[in-house]
Amino acid sequence: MSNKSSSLRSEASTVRSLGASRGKATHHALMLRLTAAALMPLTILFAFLVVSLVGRDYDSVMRLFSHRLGPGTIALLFVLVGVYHMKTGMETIIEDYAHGRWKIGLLVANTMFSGLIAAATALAIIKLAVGG
Amino acid sequence: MAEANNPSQRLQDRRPLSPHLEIYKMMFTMVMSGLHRITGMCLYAGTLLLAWYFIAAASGRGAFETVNWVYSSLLGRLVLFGFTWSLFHHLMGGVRHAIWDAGYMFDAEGRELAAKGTLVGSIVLTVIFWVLAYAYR
Repeated sequence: MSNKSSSLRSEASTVRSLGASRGKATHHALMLRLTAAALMPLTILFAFLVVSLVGRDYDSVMRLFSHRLGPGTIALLFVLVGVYHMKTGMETIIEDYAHGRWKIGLLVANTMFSGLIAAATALAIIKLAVGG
Repeated sequence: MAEANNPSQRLQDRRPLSPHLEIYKMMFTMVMSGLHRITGMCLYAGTLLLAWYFIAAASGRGAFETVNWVYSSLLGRLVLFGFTWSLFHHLMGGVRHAIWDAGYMFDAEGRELAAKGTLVGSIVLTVIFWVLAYAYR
């Protein structure tokens, strides 16, 4: 309590959220772990879906996704949660190895690639589910 | 204190550097740690394979038959095999990290056991996956 003014704020609260990440690091680390936890069952479910897709012809794949909700839901969840996880993980890698302009450029490219993959794949899965 | 008087020297050049990979002896746990990141990056690139399959299926019969032909070719199967192994290796690595986050297996035997479990688990899961894939096709 060495504050010169008679403030009731603790010293920690006056510097909290002023570090290199401006307070976003905990959320970043937490989301990486929460999406990882969600992906454990999702990956196993998705692996079973892929097993059932191996060798299927066009009509059979169309029937699978348009007649049942399960396969499309699993695929959509796996893609959306997976892309969020991989974007967050790649941000960690970029921040470890790239600095300055390279870091900014790669972070933007990472966001764009992740957004593109998520949007295009999700739209394709939804299109399959509503009937080709 | 010569550098302190030299304003042209950038702060970046005077930062202390921590030793990196090349000065350490290669160890099993180190390799497994590196593989977690490398498999993660492979999966990042591999989402293109996933996107291609679903986009082709949504685009029509012709596009779907092309992707189906590529994925059932020998090279296609080899790439898919690598993709599934990366997936299961990264999954098992995630389990190992969750155990560490919970505060367990930090000692030498624990680390070694967790690293071995990751490798064995990833191979077992990959083999089970492909046996099922061929049994159901």
